[in-house]
Amino acid sequence: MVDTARIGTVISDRTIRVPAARVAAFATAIGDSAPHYHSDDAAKAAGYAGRPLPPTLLFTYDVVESGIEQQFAALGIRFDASLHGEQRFRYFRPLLAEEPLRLVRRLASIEPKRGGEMEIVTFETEVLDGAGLRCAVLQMVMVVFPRKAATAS
Amino acid sequence: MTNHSDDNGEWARIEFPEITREVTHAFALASGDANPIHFDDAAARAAGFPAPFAQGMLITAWLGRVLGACAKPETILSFTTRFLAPVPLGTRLTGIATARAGEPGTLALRLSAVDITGKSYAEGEALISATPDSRPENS
Repeated sequence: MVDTARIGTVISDRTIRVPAARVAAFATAIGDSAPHYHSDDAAKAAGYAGRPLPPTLLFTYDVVESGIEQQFAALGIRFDASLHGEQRFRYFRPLLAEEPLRLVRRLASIEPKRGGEMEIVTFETEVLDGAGLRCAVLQMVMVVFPRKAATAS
Repeated sequence: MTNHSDDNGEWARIEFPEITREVTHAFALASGDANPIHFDDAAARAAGFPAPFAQGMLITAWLGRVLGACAKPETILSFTTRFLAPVPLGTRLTGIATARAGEPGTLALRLSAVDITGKSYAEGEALISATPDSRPENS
C-alpha cells in the first residue's frame, strides 16, 4: 500500500528551462512541422515571445528528468509494476521555450480499487513562471499493483 | 492532414506512421524516456509484456498534434488523455478530433487514436476557448 500519510507531500521541486532546440527535436519526433516550433522568427511572427511548447512536452521534464523511478521507490511503488492510466494538462497561458519554469510535484491522492488489488495514485505538478504565477498544472494518474510490488521485492 | 469542420463535427484527422522500433526509439531519445520495454523484445518480456509497445506519452503527443491542428497554443485550456490499451509495434493509428460546444465561450474537442479496424487505444478531451481566431492557419 502506498502510505496515505504522504498525500500532499512535495516530492520534487525544481526549475527548468526548455531549450528552443528541444522544442524542435520533440516536434520532429512526433512529425509536427508547425513553424512556431522550429523557428524563433516564425514564433515571433505568430505573436509569441519565444517558441511555444508543444502541449505535452512538459510531461517529459515532469516525469522523466525528475527521477520518477526513485520517487516511486521512496513511496514503495515499483515503477515497472505500475501503468500510466491517464494524463491531464491544464494551461493558464502558453508556456515558452527558454523561460524559467518551476515544477512542484506532489502526491495528490491514493484511491484503493478492487479490495486493495490495485490503487489509483495521482501525482500533481504545479508549473510556476518566473513571476511565481501558476501557468499550468499536470496530473499523472498511475495504476499501481501493490501486491505485485510486494512479491517482487 | 485535413483541418476543417464537416457534418460530423470532425475538425482534424491525422494518419500517423506505423509504430516501429525506430519510431518508439526516436521518441525515447526526444522525450528522455529511455525505458527499453518500448523497443527491446527482451526488456519487454522481462517486464511481463509479450512484446514492445508504444510509450503512452507518444500517443498523447500525437493526440496533442491533432489538438494543435485545431487550436492555437494560447487557446488550449485543458487536455486529458486516457490510455485504454498498450499499442503494439506494427499498429497504424489515426488521430481524429471532433468538436462540440462546451461551456459558454469554450469548445470541447474529443480526440481519439484508432487503428485501421476502428479499435481505440486512447481517448482524449480538450477544452479550448472559442474565440473567432482560435484556430491555426490552414497549412
